[in-house]
Amino acid sequence: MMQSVDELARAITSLEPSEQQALIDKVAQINFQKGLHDLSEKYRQRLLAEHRLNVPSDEIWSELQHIREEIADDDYRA
Amino acid sequence: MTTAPKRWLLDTNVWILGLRRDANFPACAKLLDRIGSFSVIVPRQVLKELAVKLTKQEMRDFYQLVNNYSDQVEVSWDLAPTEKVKFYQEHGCRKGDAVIAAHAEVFEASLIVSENRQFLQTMSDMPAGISSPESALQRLPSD
Repeated sequence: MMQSVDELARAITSLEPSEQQALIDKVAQINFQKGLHDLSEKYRQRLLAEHRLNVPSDEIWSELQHIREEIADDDYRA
Repeated sequence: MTTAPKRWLLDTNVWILGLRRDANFPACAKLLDRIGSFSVIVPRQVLKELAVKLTKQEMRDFYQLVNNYSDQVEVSWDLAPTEKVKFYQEHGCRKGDAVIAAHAEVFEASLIVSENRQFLQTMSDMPAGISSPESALQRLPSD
């Protein structure tokens, strides 16, 4: 059974400050990874709905290269 | 003694192929999964490229994520210095790739990670390190 928030807080505050920081850092990392997975899933679902999830790699590369040069040309006009 | 985390610049293709979970480029997703064991700089050029590929809502989600993890992911809208962009162009980079190399130098990224083979070849003898995602993964401690 999940510990209550109070119990968890007590357990955490019993740790050394360096251990508390390591725990906080780990929680932040896990939250970030979870969010990135959620974003990835949303992105994949959209591409699937648009029939673009399985486009050939060459097409992805060509588009990325085109976008790159267009943005660079816009930001850094000769 | 703790070691300062590595600070890497992930090229747009790593973000996009990683988010797509593209089966042809599995190292990209694996590398995104390891953010935290290294820190990341997301410069203007990458942000603008991502904004073209992602919807407004997806970009909002992305910003929320990186803002909540600002200890490890730094976002910057600063332009790269023109003279540095020209330097990398004069050394064989296409303009857009030169911008990425210039950003990496300014933000003191120890490594650019990219699947762009031409970029990898052009930058192979440059001071700024560049690596494929597969090689970058090998530089990280095992999970």
